[in-house]
Parts: sequence; structure tokens; C-alpha cells
Amino acid sequence: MSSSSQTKHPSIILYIWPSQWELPSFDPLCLAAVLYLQLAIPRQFSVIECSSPDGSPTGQLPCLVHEQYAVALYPSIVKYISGLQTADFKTYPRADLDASLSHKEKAQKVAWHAHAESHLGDLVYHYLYSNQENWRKLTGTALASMFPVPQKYYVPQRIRDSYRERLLAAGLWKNFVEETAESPFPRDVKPLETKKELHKNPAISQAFERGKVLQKVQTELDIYQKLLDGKSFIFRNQLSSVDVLVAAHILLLTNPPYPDVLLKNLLVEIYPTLSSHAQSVFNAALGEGKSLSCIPPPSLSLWDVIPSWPKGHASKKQSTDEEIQYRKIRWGFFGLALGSLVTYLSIISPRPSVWQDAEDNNENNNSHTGTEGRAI
Amino acid sequence: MASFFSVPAPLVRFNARFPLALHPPIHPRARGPITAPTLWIAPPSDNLLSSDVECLKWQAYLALRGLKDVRLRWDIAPEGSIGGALPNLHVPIAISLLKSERLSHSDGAEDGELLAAHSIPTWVDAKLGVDSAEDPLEGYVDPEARIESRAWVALLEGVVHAALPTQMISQPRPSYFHSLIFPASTPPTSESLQKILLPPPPPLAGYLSFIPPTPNAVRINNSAIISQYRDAIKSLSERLGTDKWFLGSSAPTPLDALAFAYIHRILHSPDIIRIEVTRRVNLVAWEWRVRCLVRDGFVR
Repeated sequence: MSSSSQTKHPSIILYIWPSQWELPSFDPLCLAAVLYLQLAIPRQFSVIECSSPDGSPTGQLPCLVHEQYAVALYPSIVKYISGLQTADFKTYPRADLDASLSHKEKAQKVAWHAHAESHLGDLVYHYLYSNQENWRKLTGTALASMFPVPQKYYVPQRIRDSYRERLLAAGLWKNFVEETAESPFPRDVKPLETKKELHKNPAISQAFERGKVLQKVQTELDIYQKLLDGKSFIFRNQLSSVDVLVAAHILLLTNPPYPDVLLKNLLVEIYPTLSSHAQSVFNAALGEGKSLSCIPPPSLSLWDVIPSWPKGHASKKQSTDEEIQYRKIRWGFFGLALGSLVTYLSIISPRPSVWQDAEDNNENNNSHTGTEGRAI
Repeated sequence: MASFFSVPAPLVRFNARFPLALHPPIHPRARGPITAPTLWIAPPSDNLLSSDVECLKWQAYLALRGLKDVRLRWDIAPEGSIGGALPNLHVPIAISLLKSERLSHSDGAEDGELLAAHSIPTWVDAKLGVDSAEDPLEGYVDPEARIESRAWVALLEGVVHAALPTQMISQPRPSYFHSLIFPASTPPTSESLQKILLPPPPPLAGYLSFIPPTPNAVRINNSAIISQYRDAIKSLSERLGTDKWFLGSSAPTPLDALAFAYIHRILHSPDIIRIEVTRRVNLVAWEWRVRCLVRDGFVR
């Protein structure tokens, strides 16, 4: 934890998905953001683990908050932190990991950000969310353990559905074919088995899907292996934001204990350069002796079921004496205006004449009846 | 054949108040035999260049590969094309991909063959007599450029596509209540944004609330999209530099067709998006030069 002399939390706060499987976060973009910040501005930021994007100021994770600025999404976070080096060199001397790249390489870096996020991201999301076995045994249970009782039952499925459109468009969403369970009461006479259609046969369809996905995995990883090309880093043998992004995705393909070990074997045997690159980036950021300072997240309660307006993030600045005085004068003015209005209305308004008329009428009537009575 | 029961007269009189309206028959449009390859595209905004990015991309591909005198037609709705997606290429049977004597003399041979967008490169190869699969570099200068082109394609189809006005970033979207009351009238643009944006946009009411998420009600972070788009255009302009074609290629490549389609579309978009490209002189000049090339390849 932070040293005892520094009790103030650093002003840069990063909101991420929670940590799982010995990695700081199980979402590739959040993991990449954490690794980048740890390399660029170590010990000058802290991390809040939100179990759902509703807890972040912009509604998406990862999200960086620095005093009154809120920045979402990895490329924007990288750009902001790099800007800190030019803005405040003394406090953040090494904030820009890409400072030594040429203009052409900086342009290529933007393109590689987009490609890695979309293509490698699709692969990671497929293995986390679409693959039914992984979902049931690994990701679903992990997500469910992060939420308290009412949310535990519907939120993981909602999070999974939000990735469905994207994976469908990429051709990586598997529609799960239910396996018909063997009935526990075997019949003596089995009904004639009709030939099952191929796509309804669970074993064969799963094998096809797995083959298709592995083909895609190999195509994408080939590109990155050629990009790395035996060097230790992508650009000029120096760590850059693209390395961090690629490493984060590869770590999330190798580290989690997936029930389906085919992918891990593939990565270790056919793409050893990629896995070793990812491991070296991880060690550089979070090796021995380095730790993250975490702020405990706000706990979820039953009130979160009711939708609330997206939370603002502006920190309340301490009001100065002048502002307090102005506030008092302002309230005094309003009070005076209101009070004088009430006084004016009460003065000029006529006496409650309605009641008086009624009383007069009553008196007249009484006097009439009285006179009549006396007359009679 | 006389029926046992006849309809009672009062019922007949009652039914006569609601006569059956007979509309004139709709005849299919008269079509002549097809003589030249015709590309079916979304209607053009100006002089022969389609207003849809996908169609424009294929138009540019055909023109940049050197084909001339390709006809265009834009009166076909997207539902009438293969896969529900324009563009499609309609070719006469003589130069189609299926070369068979029997087929060219069969009924309906004058209708030619309709190709979906993904079959267009194969057809162009067959027409020009080239085999693209022979070239391992795919027209790029070196293997690194070929790998890099994948990254640029991902950038254009992801970040730049998300900022286009078809995604309604720059136009007001119907409010959440409007989409609840009239669910069918809201355009499904959010669906395509959900496919492009990473991480997926969160539902308006939040993940944790009891209101179930609807596909159209998502919270889209416009400022983040615009800022990423700015970076993308800046890097695109940086990479083009003063080259004739992207990545220093000597001849136009599919990446050039894609880039031209997006830049042309951006230049016909609202100011907030357009200004990023108009600031970069090299992109404007490049687009102007390629536009003349592309327009020459088509006739009405």
C-alpha cells in the first residue's frame, strides 16, 4: 500500500472492471489501461474496480478521471496521459511512452490501436462470452460473484448480450445447441431414431464452430506475429502503447483457466513470441515489488435497481469565503423580495369581505325575521 | 353448382354496403436484355457516385482496377438485392463467371447473372484475365505494407465509419420516450453502432436497473467518437503524405478504394466531420484526383 506519509489519494483515478485470475482486470481494454498507467505514471494514480459500467462517470469502462476531466476508452486515455508529459513535465516525466516514435510510426500506431481493439478484442470476447462452456464454468460464475443478490441473476446475462451484436457481425457468436439429456428412466423399447439433422447434432456443430474460430484466431495472430517479426517490441525495440494493447489481449487469451485448453496450447506452441512478448510487458509493468493502489469501490445496494441519472464527476471545490458571503447575500435578497411581496399583498388585499357579507346577510335576515316576528 | 343454402337477402344487402375493391394488376417492369455489366447502387448524391459508402467502395474498386463503361442503376431497393445489401453486379451471361454453353442458350439467359458484392473481385479477375491469388503481396510494396494495410482497413471501417452521419452522430436522435411509444419508427442505426463501437455502448437505463434494455436505447459517447475520428484522420493524412497511392504502392489497391469511399462521403457530410478532412490539403487533392479517375469508368 502507499507509504504512510502520503495519505492523500492521487488525483488520477482509473475505473476498471474488477480483477480476476491474477490479472488486474478481466476486460482487455481496462487491463491495457492499467498496464499503460503503471508504465507511464507509476504510483501516481489509483484504481477503482467497478463491477458494472454504471459506476463510471461516462458509463463505459475503462474511464480515467483527473480532477474535473473524465476520459473514456483506451486511445483517448493514452492521448490524455501523453499530454500530461507536455503539460506538466516535472510531475510526469515519462508519461508519454510513444514520445520517441517518428511521425509515420505515430500514424501507424493509431491504425494498430483500431485493429488490435477490434480484431483481438473480438477473439477475447468470443472466448469470454460466446463460448458456452467458458461462460457456464468460468466467466458467468466470475461475473455473478461480483454482484449482490438481486443483480446476480440478471446482470451477467445482460452484459453478455451487449457483446452479441458485435460478435454476430464478426461471425464469432455461437448459437448454443442444447444437448438432450439422457432420461434417467430408460425405456425397454427405444423409439426408432430418426436421422438427426447435422446442424442439430451438438457434437458435430460444436466441432465445426471450434474449427471456424480457430481458423480466425490463426489468421489474426499471424498478422501480429509478422508485425512483431522476432523483435522484442513492435516499434524500434522500445515499449509503446501498441505493445501494451496487444499484450493485454494476449494475456487474456492465455492466463484465464479456460475449460477449453486448445487455445492456450495453440498460443504456446505456434506463437511463442507473442506469449513471451505479453509476459515481458506484464513483468515490466507489474513485476515484483510493484503494486497498484486501489480505492475500495462503492458497494452496490438494492437502490441500484432503480435507474438513476448518469452520475456526474465534478468534484466539489471548496468554496472560498467570498463565495460564502455572496451566497448569503443572494439568499438574503431572495428572502427580502419574498417577504416584501407577502407583506404588500397582505396590506392591500381587502378584508375578508365574503364572510362579512354573509354575516351582514345573516344579521339582516335575523333582523328581518325579528321585525317580522315582532310585527306578527 | 347449386348450393343447398342461399345467403339470406338481408345479409346480402348488408354485405353490399362493403364492396370488394379491386385494384388494377401491377405488371413487372419491362426489362430489356442486359448488354453491359451493370452495377446496382444506392442513389447517387452527385454525378454517378453513390451516397452509400459500401456501394461507393465497390464503384471505386471497379474503376481503379481499370474497367471502363460499366453502367449504373439506382432504382432497385436494397431488399431486391442478394443478401439484402447493395451493391450487386449484374452481368450478361457471356462474360459471367459461369461459362457454359447450355446455360447461355437456356431460358432467361438474356437476364444475365447477378453477383453479390463479395464475388465482384473474382469476376474482375476473370474479365481482365489476371489471377490475384498469384501475387503474395496483393499489390503492396512489401510484406510490412501488406500487414499494415489490414490495420488501416480496421481503422477506416471502425473509427471513421462510426463518425459518419448515417450513424446519426451529428443529427438529433429520437428521444427515449419516443422510441418507447413508437418502436417501429426509430431507425435501427444503434444496431450498427453496437457492432462497431468498443466497448459496446451501455443501455440508457443502465445495466443494473430493472428496466430491460432495448436495442435502440443506448448511451453513445459522442465526444469520444469525434475525438477518435479526429486522430484517425490526422494519422491518415500523415501516412498519405505526398504519395500517389496509400502506403507507397505503385498501383491502386483495395485500400485506396476504401479510403476514397470514406473521404468522399465525409466531404459530403455536416461540417463538424467535414472540416477535419478539408483541413488536410493532401487528402483533398488525393480525393479530387481519384474522383476524376473513378467517374471516368462509369456511364449512366
